Amino acid sequence: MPTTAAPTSAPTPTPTPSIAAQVRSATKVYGHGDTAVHALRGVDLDVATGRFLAVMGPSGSGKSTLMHCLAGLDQLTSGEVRIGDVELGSLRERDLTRLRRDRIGFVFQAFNLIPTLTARENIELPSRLAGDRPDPAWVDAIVSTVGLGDRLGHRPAELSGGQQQRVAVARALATRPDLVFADEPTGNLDSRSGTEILRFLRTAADELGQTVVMVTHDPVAATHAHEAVILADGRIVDHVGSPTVDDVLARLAALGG
Amino acid sequence: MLQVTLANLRAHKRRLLATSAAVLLGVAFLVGVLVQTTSLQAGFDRLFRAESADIDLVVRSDRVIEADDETFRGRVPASVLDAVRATPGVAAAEADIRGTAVILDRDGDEVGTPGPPRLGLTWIDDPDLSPYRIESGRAPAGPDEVVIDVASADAAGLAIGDRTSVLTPDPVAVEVVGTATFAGEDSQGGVTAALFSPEGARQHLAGGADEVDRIVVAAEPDADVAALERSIRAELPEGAEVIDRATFEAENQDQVAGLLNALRPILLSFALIALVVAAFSIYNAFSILVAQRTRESAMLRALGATRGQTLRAVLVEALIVGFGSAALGTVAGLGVAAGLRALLGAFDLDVGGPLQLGLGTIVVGLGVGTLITVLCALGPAVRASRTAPIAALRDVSVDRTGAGRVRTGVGLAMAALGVALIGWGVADTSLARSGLGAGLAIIAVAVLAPALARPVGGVLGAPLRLRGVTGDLARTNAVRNPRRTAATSTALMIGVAVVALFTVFASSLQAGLDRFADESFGGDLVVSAGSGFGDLDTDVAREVAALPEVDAAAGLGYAPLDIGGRQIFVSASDLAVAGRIVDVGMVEGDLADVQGPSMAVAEGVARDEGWTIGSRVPWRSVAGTSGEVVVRGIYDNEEIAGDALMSTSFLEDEGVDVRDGSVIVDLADGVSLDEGRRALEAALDGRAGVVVRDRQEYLDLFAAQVQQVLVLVYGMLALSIVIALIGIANTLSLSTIERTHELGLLRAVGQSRGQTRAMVRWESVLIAVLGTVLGLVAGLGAAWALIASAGPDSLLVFATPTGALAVVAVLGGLAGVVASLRPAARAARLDPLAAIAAT
Repeated sequence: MPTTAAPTSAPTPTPTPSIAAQVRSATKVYGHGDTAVHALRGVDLDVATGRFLAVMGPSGSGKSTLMHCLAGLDQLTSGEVRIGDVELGSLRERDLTRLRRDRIGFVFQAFNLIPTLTARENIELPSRLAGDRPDPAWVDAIVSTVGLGDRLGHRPAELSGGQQQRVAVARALATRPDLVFADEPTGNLDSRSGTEILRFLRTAADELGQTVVMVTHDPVAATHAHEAVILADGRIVDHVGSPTVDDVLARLAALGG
Repeated sequence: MLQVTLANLRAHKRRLLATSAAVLLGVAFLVGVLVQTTSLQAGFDRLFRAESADIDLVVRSDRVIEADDETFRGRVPASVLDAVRATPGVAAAEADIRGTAVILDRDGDEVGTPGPPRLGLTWIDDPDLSPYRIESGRAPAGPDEVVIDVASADAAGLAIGDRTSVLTPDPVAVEVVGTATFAGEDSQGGVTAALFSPEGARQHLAGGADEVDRIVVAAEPDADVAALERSIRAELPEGAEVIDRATFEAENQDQVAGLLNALRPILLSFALIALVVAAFSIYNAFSILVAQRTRESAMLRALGATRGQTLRAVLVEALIVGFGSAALGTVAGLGVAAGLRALLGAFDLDVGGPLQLGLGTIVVGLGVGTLITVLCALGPAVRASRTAPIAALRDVSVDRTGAGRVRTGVGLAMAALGVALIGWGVADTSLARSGLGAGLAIIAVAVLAPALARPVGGVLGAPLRLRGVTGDLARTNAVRNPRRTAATSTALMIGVAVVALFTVFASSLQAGLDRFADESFGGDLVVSAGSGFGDLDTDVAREVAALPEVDAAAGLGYAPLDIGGRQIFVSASDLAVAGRIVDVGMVEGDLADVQGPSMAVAEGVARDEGWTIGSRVPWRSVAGTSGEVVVRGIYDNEEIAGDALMSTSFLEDEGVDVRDGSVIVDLADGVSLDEGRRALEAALDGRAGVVVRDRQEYLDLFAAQVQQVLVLVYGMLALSIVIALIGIANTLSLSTIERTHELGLLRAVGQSRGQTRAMVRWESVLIAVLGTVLGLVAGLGAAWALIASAGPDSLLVFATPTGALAVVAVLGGLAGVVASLRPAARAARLDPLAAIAAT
């Protein structure tokens, strides 16, 4: 049964939500025979445009696999993933790369930045790889949103962990991608820096209309999202609108894990 | 800890492969050189022992002149043979008349090269007294019959019954009546031999004189050889001596020892260059491996491994890799030796025989390979042992070492000292000081390389901006670990520096020859032997000078002479004419006055000996003649005139054998070059092996020789360059492994495979170009220093072969592309997801 992350208590009026990404009957199996691991066992998910969605679940629930397949980093064993109107399974490696470059933004837990490039160069990297110059007004807008103004000329080694993640968020937003994926973006940060990053992601969704999918196992992080889906054992088992910590903890506890 | 070391070796087989390759190739070259020189030595020893046949004693002249390391000996009267034969205890004795004899093939071209001697000998039938045996045909009987060695017969395509010419240097028309082997081989290590009958030898090799070069003696089987030696000595006339077999053998082998002693250090220095280049690659590989294992080392330290254990773990790893690679390299050395033999064979420096892999060579190969590897790993091992246990908990395991202040300081000091030495050396034309200075400066560049890598790499990498962000990334990657980049490019730098040095030398020699020709050489045409390096009979100059089309012709000849105790090659010419064609740079006196018992001397010689115009100087020749000459002129162009100049006709009147290297001809007014050439060719038609060339053609002969040597040098350096390239490829591979996360991230945010490949490729090109440029600068600088300090009188004129150096630079860049192929492909294949997930 499809679990649609539809706006149940939308804070902004979104009368007819369009779909930024869609997953249908997704399965992913690693290995063969006895050693086969079923990471995804038939997942259906619609990600509505302009929403901040948290994907939650215990270790091994398949949440990272789901995100990697959504982002074109990994291939499904069966099923379909669409970004906008493009079905990823039919794409060749070259087109997948272009899709990642032009339509998807990434924020990883660590190793987000190229150490030899300055903060600004890191932010502009995807556009520059495409041979474009990013829109300076847009970059400035993002930079001021994440509050990096005076640190742009520094290299990652000269930035704090929180500042590095803010650069990563800015980079993810810089190409105006259809989707931003964040994989445990606060995993390596102290709580204050982590909260800042989550606020930026939420602001991006609310004010810039940016669709954001975040994988996390932290219930506090999930409370910044518009909604959360909970994975267990390769299936979506629950769906929470405007999640609160208690909500999430209760539902995770219900999984018996 | 040994377990950890062995596990590391197993786990990092691929990473160690390139390290092994560097050690292997370096050792292979060293072993190849040792094997080849030992084999050459053994081959020559064998051939020269064979030359002694069963000879017990040798009678010969005691008049000797040693000029330029060449020994010239007089002859003894032929009548001595009868006296020797009459001595009781002598079983057999034969006379041997020897001289130079160049065999011409059916097309009139010279057989053999100026390398090994080309001899005319006397056929001796007695197998105890000669190593030559008839292979086919018969021994020479008539004066114009010869037997030639099998190798020459094959090379010349001459068969029994064929007629050809032998240049002694006068062309002698001969019939080949047989072929002969030397001690069972086709030739005496490339020596060409034309064996005449005793009468033929007397006419053609001894100029008709009743004199012989040596008398070889076999004693009765039961004779006391020492006693026989004494009784023969008692019979000998003044000017003759008798030596025993041991002395004869030792002298023969000394000649070869001289050649090998010159060859061995040259070959070994190329092996040394290869080893130095290999050392940089090895050092680099271990530095990176250790840096990548920082976490592991820290964890081991945290678990209780002592510093010593961590240090030993790396060193044992180096020991195993070094020894294993050295063992393989020693085996591969046999292949290199075979290659060297082929290379030297092209210069007729091959005496056959099996390759000699002695125990000493094996020990040196294994020892040097192992030692270099361990020494190169020592620095990285110490760094590994200093890893703080806390580093295990940190993320960063990337080698970020830059240029140390101390290192930069030392480098600058060395550079300053090197430049100062060069300046001093150039100022007082001391080649030794400049050489030392240049060596020091090149090492200084290597020491300063980490400090230079960033700025120079930045400048060289500037064009990469045009390649967009991929180029930017390549440039910053290339200079992010200056020490690593420096060590990688330094390996290439050394190879390129030596290539540049020799290339500049070759072009400077060429420029020098051109200048020499312009300033000193006024002739229109040059007559010389076909190869340009043989001798001419002095009659050629006289015949040419008599032609109506010729205004002046002078043979440029030489003869070994003892002048006031100096044993030298005296230059000989018709000095009344020579001064009009060549400019010897008279300082005092008039060249035309140097006739009869007089001479002109070089300024330097005159100064050393205290000779001035009018000095009387005693002289003597190997022919036994002697007298006094008056100094009538002093000149300063030693390149063309040598130490002393005398009149050809005076020397010949005194019984001195003068050989002309060339005859320089000035045509009469109104005679065109073509007319002159036709006239000369018609006049010389009867003389086989003589060629008329114009100036440029004659100079081109030397240019061709220079180029041939240059090719040999390039061949020897090729291995060093290959080692340097393997080093670059290895560094890139290791850096790629180290940057797995980063590459994964770049791919995740949209870098295409092509862009990843391009990024690694441009990084490689930049490192290679950095090494090439530093090498070109260092090589050019060193060449300039050496040439400048050789002084204005040297034959070298500093000339930059722009085209050739541009080719080197382009090849350096292309080499970078080649070195990047594998690492770039591996980087592009990386799965972004796995790369990001990898720890």
